Amino acid sequence: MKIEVPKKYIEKFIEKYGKNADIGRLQAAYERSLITKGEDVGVIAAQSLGEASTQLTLRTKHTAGIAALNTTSGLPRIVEIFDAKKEISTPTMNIYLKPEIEKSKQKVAEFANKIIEIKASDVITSYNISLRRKELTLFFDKEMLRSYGFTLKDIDRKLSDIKLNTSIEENRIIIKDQSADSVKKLIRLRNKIINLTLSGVKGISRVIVNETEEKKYWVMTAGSNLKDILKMDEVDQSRTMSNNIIETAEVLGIEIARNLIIKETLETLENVGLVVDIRHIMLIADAMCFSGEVKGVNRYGITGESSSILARASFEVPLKHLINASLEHDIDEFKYVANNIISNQVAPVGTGSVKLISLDYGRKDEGKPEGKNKEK
Amino acid sequence: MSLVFVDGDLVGKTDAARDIAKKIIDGRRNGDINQNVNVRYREDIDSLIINTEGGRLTRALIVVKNGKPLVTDEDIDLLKQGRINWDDLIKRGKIEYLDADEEEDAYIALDEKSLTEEHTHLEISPLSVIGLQAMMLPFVNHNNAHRSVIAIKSVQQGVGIYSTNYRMRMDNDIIVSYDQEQPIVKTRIYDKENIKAHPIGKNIVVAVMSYLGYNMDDAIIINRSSVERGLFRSSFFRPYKVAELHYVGGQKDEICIPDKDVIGYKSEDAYRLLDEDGIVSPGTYVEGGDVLIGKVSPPRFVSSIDKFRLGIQKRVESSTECRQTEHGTVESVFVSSTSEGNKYVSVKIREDLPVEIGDKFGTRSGQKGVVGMLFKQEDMPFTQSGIVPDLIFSPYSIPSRMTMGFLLELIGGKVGSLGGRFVDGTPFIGENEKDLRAELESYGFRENGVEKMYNPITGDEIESKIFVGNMLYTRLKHVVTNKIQWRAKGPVQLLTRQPTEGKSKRGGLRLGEMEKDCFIAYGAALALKERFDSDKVTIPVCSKCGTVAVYNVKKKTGYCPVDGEDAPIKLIEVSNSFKILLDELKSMGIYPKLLIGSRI
Repeated sequence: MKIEVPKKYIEKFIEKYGKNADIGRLQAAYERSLITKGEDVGVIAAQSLGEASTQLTLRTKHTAGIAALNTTSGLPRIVEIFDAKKEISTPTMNIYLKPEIEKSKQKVAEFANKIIEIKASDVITSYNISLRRKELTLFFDKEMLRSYGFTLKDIDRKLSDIKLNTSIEENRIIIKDQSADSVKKLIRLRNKIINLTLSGVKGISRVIVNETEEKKYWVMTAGSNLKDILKMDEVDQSRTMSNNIIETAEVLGIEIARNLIIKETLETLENVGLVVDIRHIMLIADAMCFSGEVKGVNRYGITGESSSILARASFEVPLKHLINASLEHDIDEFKYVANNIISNQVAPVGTGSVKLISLDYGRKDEGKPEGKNKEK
Repeated sequence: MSLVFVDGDLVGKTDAARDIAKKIIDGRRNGDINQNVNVRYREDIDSLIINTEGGRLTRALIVVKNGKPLVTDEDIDLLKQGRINWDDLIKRGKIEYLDADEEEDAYIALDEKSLTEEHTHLEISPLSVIGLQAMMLPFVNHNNAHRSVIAIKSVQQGVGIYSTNYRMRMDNDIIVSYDQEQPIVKTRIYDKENIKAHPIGKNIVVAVMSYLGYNMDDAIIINRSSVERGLFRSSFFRPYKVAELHYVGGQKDEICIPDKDVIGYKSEDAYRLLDEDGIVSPGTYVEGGDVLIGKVSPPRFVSSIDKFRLGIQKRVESSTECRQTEHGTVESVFVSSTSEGNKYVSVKIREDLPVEIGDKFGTRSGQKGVVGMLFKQEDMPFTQSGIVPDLIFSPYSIPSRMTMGFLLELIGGKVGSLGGRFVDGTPFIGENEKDLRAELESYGFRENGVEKMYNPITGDEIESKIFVGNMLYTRLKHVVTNKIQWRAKGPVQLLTRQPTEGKSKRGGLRLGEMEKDCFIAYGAALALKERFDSDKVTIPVCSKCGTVAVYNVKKKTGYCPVDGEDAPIKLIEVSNSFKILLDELKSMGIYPKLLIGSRI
């Protein structure tokens, strides 16, 4: 059987080696890199990554490097990526600025200071609740306010923005709430105020300005808010990125999220000195992303969506899957490895993926003689 | 104002905690206060802690005053002459016992050379920083601490003569090695503790070289001729113990040759070794399955006594037989009685254990390994003077583990055997490397211990010089004979029809989840199916409704419980565990149906 080399490779080949080059060499290289039919690439990918992660548990190295930002690394990070966790433990962003800004250290530092989130809780020293007067009193330290660059009026304006009845007295702000009929309600109001963002971008707690070899500066942050950062004028949207995969998928789309999964996994492994072929990780990333949203490798994600009942049941919570299958009158077509192993049949991989078909007077036998299917 | 605790109880307050502490210590040294009272002032919690109760760990130290130890050379001379003893030194306050609390306040010098004005105490010997077992290891101060821990574990597992009355004892799973020696390179504590009575190990000629690849990765090569001359020859003893028990109702066990009408009678052949009293006689060779002690018991349950037959109740055979995988000679038979007055019999089997491939050996520096190959003397390399090593050790085991003690012991052993003397390998205070090297040179050898060796196959000189010497090697209790296990076919479990697990049940070796994945990754689907065929069953299935049908294989007829006689029944091959799964699903109220062939 002749395997056709895709045209784009032939074009590239000619472009690189000239018209007189031997196409046979390309043909051989192409055939060599193809996967044989029946090769269980999934298991091989799982083994390739699994072997590496056994070493991850053994040696967890702390990254001593440029920035003092301590990001999750090693096995916990790998678990985080493949479980598609919504809230990762250390979200960070690498923010690159437009070419005209990034050369100036001062401008970058200004930008970095601008995006740090300052919450009301950072400047409020104490508070007082009075149910009788139906008011909440917030106390401020003027010195501290000045160091953050605020005045009481600024804060008062912010509070007025969220439709609160406020008044300023010396170093405190009094908020009246006539609808308050219990302490609970006032405390809820306080919690709301404390989490108020006074300046900066929500979610960004720390920033570090880094320098590249070409004397260009970029910002690394603790905390991630891709949506708001990308809206800012100074930011170079093409290079700025976050390490939060779910957030990236929401803001930039599934393709970017897939690339981010691959990049983050490779980087985490590289940090501990492990090399796993990118194709294994690409396969897992594809499996996680092909449905259009990022799904984790767990029973809520891609494993739970396997079409085989027995494969799902043999993974986690078997009873749930079996009962649901019986209620829905599900059919397990025995096309997977797990269910064929359970029932001691030949799994349709490798040597099991080919069958001998007897030709009877030139006519094919109908159906598979040994195939069994299970119905609930 | 500091708190005062006596044995953990708060008893009062004081302003002069430090003075009290000093007074107590002085009083103890004068003999006014018991020598076992310890005191400590803790600054962090501002309290004085006085300990008097028993059960504390204490250790003896020499008291130091103004940078001079109180135990003088005169005292040592007097001690040597026997005119004073240890207790006298304690009474005079020259040596005292400190517990863990008071030790925190002390500043202890390791040896006399490092004494300064600030020191309060001096170690009696620098050896006391390590434990008793580590003191037995030669040159242990030259080894990595972690290796020393491994070495201690190795020595504990060594076989030797653990007790001189081992032939009388009935200990479980004991290996005794007969030709053991005391080490040439020993430590001072070795003589003090009288370990000579329980030697573990033998001083053998060790060459550090790689040879034909049979000693890679911590394996060792042993000279087969040495083994045939009796090197490391050991015996394994296993006692079988049986007591005649009395049961409720006046019934009791009986040790005898079982009658043929006993329930569970084995075969005449199995009882052939028994004497008239139902016990094998000493000196008999027994194999797995042979009965050693014949015994019959009353039935375990007082079962339905036949109303119409008034015969004697049938008895159950409960003999003790030799373990399936073992064999040996009956070493001794003891007949005695238990504290309740029941007859008690124990039979001890002895199995000879010559050294074979896979047996484990260790040194006293944590360098343990298994035998990779046994070569005859003529196949072992030899030195210029004709010395053939008993053991070849791999040089690749040395650099990463940094066990310099191993190398020193090898040189020390060589010096000792050439000079006909013992070498003092006591850590910190033993003989030093320089002197050993010089002595070795004086015997006409290279000072670094290497020698010219010859290839036994070609007779050529081996290009590099080989480091060869004598050292103590210990046979460890892990011997292959007791561990080897294999199975082609054998017993299966009743429920799942899968092979049993474990060596004692002749079990199989599990092909687990990850091993299964390897077969799949390799693409060997048919080989994998065959591996899992151990519990395959053929079940009849009605191809119309998909339920498990009833089928008579001989008559080739059957019926389906749903569709009746005319149902088309097909035989399919599945694993028994899958059949159980189907049955269990049915018992849960889930109705699994098998759709066969071209229905889909």
